[in-house]
Amino acid sequence: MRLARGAVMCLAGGIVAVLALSACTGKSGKKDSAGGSGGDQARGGTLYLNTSRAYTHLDPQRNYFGDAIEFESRTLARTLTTFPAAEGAKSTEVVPDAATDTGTRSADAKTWTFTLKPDLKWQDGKPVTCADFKYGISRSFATDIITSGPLYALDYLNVPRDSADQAAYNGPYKKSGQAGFDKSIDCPSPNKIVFHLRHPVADFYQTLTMPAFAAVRQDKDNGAKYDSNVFSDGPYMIQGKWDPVRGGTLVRNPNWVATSDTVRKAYPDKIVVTFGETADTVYQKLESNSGTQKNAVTTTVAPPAAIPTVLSGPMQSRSASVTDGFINYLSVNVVKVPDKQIRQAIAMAVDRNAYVTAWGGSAAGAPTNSLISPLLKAYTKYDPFGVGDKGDPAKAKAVLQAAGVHIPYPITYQYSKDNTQDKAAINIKSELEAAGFKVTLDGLNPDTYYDVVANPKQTAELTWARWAADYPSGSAVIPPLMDGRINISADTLGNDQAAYNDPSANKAIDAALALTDDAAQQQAWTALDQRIVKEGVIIPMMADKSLYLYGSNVKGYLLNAAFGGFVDLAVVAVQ
Amino acid sequence: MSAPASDGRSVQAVLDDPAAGDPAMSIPAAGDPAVGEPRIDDSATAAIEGRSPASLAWRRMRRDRVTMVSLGVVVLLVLLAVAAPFLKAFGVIDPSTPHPELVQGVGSLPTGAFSGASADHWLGVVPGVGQDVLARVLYGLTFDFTIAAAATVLTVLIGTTIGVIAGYSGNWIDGALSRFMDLVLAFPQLIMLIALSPIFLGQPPQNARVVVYLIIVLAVFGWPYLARIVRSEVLSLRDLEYIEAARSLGASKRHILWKELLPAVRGPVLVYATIILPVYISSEAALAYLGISLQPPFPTLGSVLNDALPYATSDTTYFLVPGIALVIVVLAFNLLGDGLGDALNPRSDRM
Repeated sequence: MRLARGAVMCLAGGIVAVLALSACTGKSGKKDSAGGSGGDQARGGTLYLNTSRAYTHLDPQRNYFGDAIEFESRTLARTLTTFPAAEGAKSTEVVPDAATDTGTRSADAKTWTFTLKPDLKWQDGKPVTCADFKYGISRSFATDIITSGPLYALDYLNVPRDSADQAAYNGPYKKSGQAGFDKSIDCPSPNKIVFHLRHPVADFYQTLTMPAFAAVRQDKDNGAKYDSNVFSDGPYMIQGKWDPVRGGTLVRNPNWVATSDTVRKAYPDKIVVTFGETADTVYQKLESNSGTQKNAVTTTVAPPAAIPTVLSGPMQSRSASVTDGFINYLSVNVVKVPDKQIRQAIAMAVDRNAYVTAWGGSAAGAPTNSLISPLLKAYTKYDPFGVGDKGDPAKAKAVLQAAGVHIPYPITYQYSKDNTQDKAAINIKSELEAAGFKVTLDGLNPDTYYDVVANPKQTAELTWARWAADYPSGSAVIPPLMDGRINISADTLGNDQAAYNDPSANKAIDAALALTDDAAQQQAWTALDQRIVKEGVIIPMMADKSLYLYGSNVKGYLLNAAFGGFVDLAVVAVQ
Repeated sequence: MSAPASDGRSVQAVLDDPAAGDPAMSIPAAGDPAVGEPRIDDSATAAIEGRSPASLAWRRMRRDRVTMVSLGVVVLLVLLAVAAPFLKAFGVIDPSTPHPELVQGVGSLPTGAFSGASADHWLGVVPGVGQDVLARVLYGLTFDFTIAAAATVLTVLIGTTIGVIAGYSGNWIDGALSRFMDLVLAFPQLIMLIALSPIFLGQPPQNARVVVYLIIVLAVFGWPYLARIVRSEVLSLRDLEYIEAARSLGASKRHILWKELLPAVRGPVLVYATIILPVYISSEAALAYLGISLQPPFPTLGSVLNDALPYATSDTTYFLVPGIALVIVVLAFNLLGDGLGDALNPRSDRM
């Protein structure tokens, strides 16, 4: 997931788990916020959520940003399973949500059966049924309208393939291949759902935590406009008009049955969401802690300018930090830069230490060489080019000269523009220019950034991105990002900004996915990660840390590592 | 037109002659009488010299200390702004190069007091990236000053032309032009600037286009203010006797507009130009905050200010420097404008 999704980083099991546990446990200043239970939270009041980057897609099948996923998952869209409201490793232990348990799987992990709870209700009182889940999941296949969402359904469900090895079904609007899709999900009764998968997916119960597998009412679906009027089966519903760019207000869903929901406490009566202020403004308001700011939380990470203030003095008691599982990385587009040596020169020149400094130093993250978070089993520490974290522009220049191209070699670097990213970009530009490149910086509007860089006509040679595993496995990092078959089509690159679609790598991905032994599978992901980095396709830069501030009236505050280290709206209260 | 004593013009006529612009030009030296003329004792009047209005204005200004100081500051600023690109080319100042090793404090603050001030970096470095603050402010000043000066020149050209035409023409031409001015004034300048920018600036916004865009839009929305001032000045002048005299002597309308009226509005235009230039600089700062600015690493005063604002408590020096620089620039120009206005006003001697 992009930007805040449950990081699976804090997996249980083995040495990694111990390390993960200690690294993952968020430092919360509140003395009573032990996992969101107990404490002195009470119903009532208004929670204010002020966040810089808009949750552009609340359409559950299009929602792929961690904070937006956590928000929607806790307020509007229930899923068969979900992550509990807990800190550290405990947050990754999947619990049932709309289903009665975490599913029954066949021996070959290709068939999964769930029973829905009896009291699931939409906001108009009608029951949530298997047909609603099936319809919601089918929308992911309408890739012309339902854009930008996770693509697991297209890959996992046993839908017949076409000649290009893509699913031969184009969604519930055009319905071509509908019969084939209908066979992949059975509704033997309205409250029973059976999934038939194309290949073994041992952790499918974890995949189902994503809103992409949430139910949608067919009669309430309005296609591309659904971002603005999500019909809810959660504890809250949209009041009046919801603006995907500016925000809106959520009020209680009168038909949500609290006893059917073991995770969401829904303490606040109202949640007022505001997007668009800069990170600096959001934090200045939180620091002031006056008026409605006392009831405020944010999913915007503290900008570097605010870090010294937040970490010093009395504000520290209303701050919390966590290694959030996100990896900051650069993609080198293999169509625009087909020469491997040029890509390797770029990878050798960049200085990860300067990058971390630009983002705010050790409070903001740590340098890394892997696309896989240090908290996952599949992570290993290594030095792909022998240049350390500092990089070596001189060595890079030698490689570039050996490639025989005209120096300076022109490239454009696209990134999501804000003051911090500008500074990181300046460093990258200066390092690459010392290595013989000519760099044009192109800072793009954050709200539409990922849509632009996924467009093959608009994307540049070098683009920035940030990703966390959707669930605690290398299979939630490598295939979603690097499998060209599910990402690339005529008008989009999906999450594969590098346009990487190597047949032998794709074969290796398939082989890894077929493994039923977890340790062997994670080793396969490690090998693929190193291969992609050594080919200069992906340049991992930083393993992120998140620091947050919240208002003094907020109780039960905890950062949910599974969702990406964001404040867990299931258990916060303002009274 | 020189006036030697031998042509018989009186001294008074010489003194009153506005065309006698040379302050050094004096009455005929004593002791140089024409043949046959009685010797004139000029010693008492020797000290009276002819002065043009410009030199009179200059003398008035010289007496005003505050204005002279602001003039000095403005001249210094202009010199710095012009010199900055050359200083950069020679490596004396360096606004772009990052120095991450200088910003290793908590949250990447500069190590050392006063935002990391040192012999190499007199005003410290930028947090997070370590660029030299003094160099960025100077270079930003260059950009701002260039944009503002160009926009001011354009504003003066458009505004004066239209104002003179509107003021002198009367009837429907004046009516049409005045309504046009009202229309332009009614547009919200800042919002238009932001709304139109994606169309003109391209993606990525090219720096050259940003420069041209800013200059043109600032001038396009700024000229009506000047045009109105010029128009009202012209309205008060056009019924004066000397214009009537020129008309009755057969001067064409073009001659009256450009040779008689235009010079007469020089004063108000000059004062207005001095005041509008800092307004344009501040507008650029506001626009940089809203995202219309040069791509990094090129600084403008606005983008440096924009970056410095959140560091109010954590790096106060960095927060204050661009703000104070902007204040100095705006104050200097405003005081100069005030002083010019007083100096050019002949009635201010009596106060």
